Amino acid sequence: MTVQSLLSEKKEQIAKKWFELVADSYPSQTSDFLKSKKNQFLNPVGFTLKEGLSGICNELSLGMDESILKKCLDDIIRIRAIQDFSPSEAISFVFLLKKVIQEVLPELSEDAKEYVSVMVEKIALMSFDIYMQCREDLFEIRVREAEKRNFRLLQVANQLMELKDERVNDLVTGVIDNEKGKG
Amino acid sequence: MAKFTKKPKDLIADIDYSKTPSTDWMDTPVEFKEHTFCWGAKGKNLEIVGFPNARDWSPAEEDWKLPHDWENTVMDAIKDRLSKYRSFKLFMDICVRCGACADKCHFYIGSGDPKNMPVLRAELFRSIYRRYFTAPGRIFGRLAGARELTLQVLKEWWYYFYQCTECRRCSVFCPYGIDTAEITMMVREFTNLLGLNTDWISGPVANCYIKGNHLGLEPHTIKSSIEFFLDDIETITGIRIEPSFNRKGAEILFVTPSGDLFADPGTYTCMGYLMLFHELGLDYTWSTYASEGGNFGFFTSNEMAKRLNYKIYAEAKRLGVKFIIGGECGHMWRVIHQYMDTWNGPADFLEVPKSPITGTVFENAKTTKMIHITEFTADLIRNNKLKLDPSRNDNLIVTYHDSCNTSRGMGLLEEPRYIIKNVCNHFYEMPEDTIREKTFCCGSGTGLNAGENMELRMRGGLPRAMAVKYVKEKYGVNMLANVCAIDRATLSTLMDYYNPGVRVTGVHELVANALVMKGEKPRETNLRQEPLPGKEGA
Ligand code: SF4
Ligand code: SF4
Repeated sequence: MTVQSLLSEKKEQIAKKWFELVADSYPSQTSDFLKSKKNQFLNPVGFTLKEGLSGICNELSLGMDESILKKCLDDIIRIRAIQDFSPSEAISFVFLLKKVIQEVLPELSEDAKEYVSVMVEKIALMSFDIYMQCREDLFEIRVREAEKRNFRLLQVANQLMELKDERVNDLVTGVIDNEKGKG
Repeated sequence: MAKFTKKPKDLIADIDYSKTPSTDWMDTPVEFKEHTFCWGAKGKNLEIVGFPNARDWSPAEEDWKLPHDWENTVMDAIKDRLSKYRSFKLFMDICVRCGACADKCHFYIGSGDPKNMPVLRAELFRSIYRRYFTAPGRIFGRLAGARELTLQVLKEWWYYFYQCTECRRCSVFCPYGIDTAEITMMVREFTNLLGLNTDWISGPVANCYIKGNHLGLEPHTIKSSIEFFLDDIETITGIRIEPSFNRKGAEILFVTPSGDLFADPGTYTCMGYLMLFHELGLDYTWSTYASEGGNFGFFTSNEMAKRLNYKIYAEAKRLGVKFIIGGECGHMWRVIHQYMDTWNGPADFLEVPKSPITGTVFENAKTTKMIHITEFTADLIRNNKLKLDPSRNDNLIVTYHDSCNTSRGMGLLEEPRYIIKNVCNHFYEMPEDTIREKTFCCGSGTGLNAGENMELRMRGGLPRAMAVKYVKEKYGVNMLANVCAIDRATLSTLMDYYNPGVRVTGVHELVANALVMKGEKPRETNLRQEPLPGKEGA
């Protein structure tokens, strides 16, 4: 049997175990909640993890389609990037996959293990990029929000600058400085 | 060379993938992590409104510059509020810790932090109540779930009660009707007594107190902003609108959150109000003094909220209007619906709102004398008073977010939906568990809509974003409508992070797009000056 067909045969078991381990990276009450609540809207984190992880497991035995992997990883990492995790903690879940496969398929040949290793590395590398992208997005949306918040104010300021109304101009730029560079 | 002595197996065992704190919640100290909390207030803003302990302070710093007898201040305040508010005392005593509320909070769902479970959030305070105000707590201490009030506890309160948007979703599921939002309000009041305000809240409060609106804009700035809208409206419709400001003797005073005047996309909603009122020939006036519907005082103390709210009735009286219409806002409506009348009423110099167009009397606003604009507009549509062309919104696939305040706070559920369905052809609801009374908060209410706490906001907004994602993927939803100024700003940001491509709109922007106005030129664009469907090549 090829490693792909072994992985395909056990993909549900791998995904389930993987999900449980990832859920355990949260405080214990939360881990129970993530595992037990079924409604996708009332437990969106649990649902997203489950969907994303099984999507990745599916790809292990198929062609490792980059766009599918990317979507699954993005869904998961977008959430972990804003939760109480350090960068390494946020993507540590990828490395758990190796552990899970070892447990579910202990009999894998050295070659097959090597294959799994390479795949996990590939997923890990993608995850670094996605994590960075999410963090960049986080800063970008903050700047964009500040701009939108003051859009009309800037318009008014420009008009008033023409009228040389220094006082209002000061007021307006004061508000903007306040919002952009608080602290 | 000790670092090379470990075997690979041991190294692997060293990696800890788990975040589970090994200690009980009472022994797990709070950690202030960047991007999860708002900056501390500036002394000058606290001074302006006479708030105690006015000084600059920073939550991240060890020293909070507290008054030396802060514990007494808190104890006295607790005693006072317990005797004043029966509900508060009841909420302290009757929780059976059944856990029904535990997983209902958007901050818990999004963060996974157990201290964001409403029941545990309340316990952060209740443990102190037990220790100092109940016999078992005094005697058995920790065994009875009680603990001492320490600086650590105060910091924990501050951290977690400023991670509650007072949305009341948890209260919907509590079999005893315990409203954790009210506990949050109380604890925020206590922190307020020690000068522990946030910059994002205290700045607007001070501005509003002096100038009448959150940004501290003076009358001519407000007027200039509206003039920009009038120019845009003229470009789009060919019609020049001339609204009045501070006009005595107008029939109606219109008050909206100042965000509508300056922040996109709220500005388009504001243009919508202007166009609708013009088309009706409504006898109304703007005020540059009561120029803020929002009330950030509500996020500091009952007393401050009352002081800021006062200007609305005062201005209505000064101008001699008959009643008040309020724009699309969330917490403004909670304040008006639930508090204004008892704080600053009775407004018996006003009349019960009666639509001059349809003759409908709004009995629901009999005492407050103030109606929500969606009540007003829904009534117009029901009585066939508007000529509408919903096909102008055909490029939009719309869903509706119930703001916590309008839905749970005042039961405004049908009117916005009724309007949207009449002005848009493509409307899809989000899943049932995430709308109406069970709506999920935007994650940024109660003055948490600052920039420095963006990570926290994305946690709180996660359940809402996931429900939008679902209708986006299922129906192709590309527009998220709502009736709240804070939503318009913060949901835009939330969508940019989780669901790029979904934009945000107020309901009256959609109305004005569809509104066929007398004497208008053939419309080529919508209010955002993007081509209307079918006019893309024009
Ligand atoms: S649902 Fe009500 S009674 Fe149950 S734990 Fe929550 S607050 Fe307490
Ligand atoms: S009021 Fe809302 S934010 Fe506060 S604890 Fe309840 S559900 Fe959470």
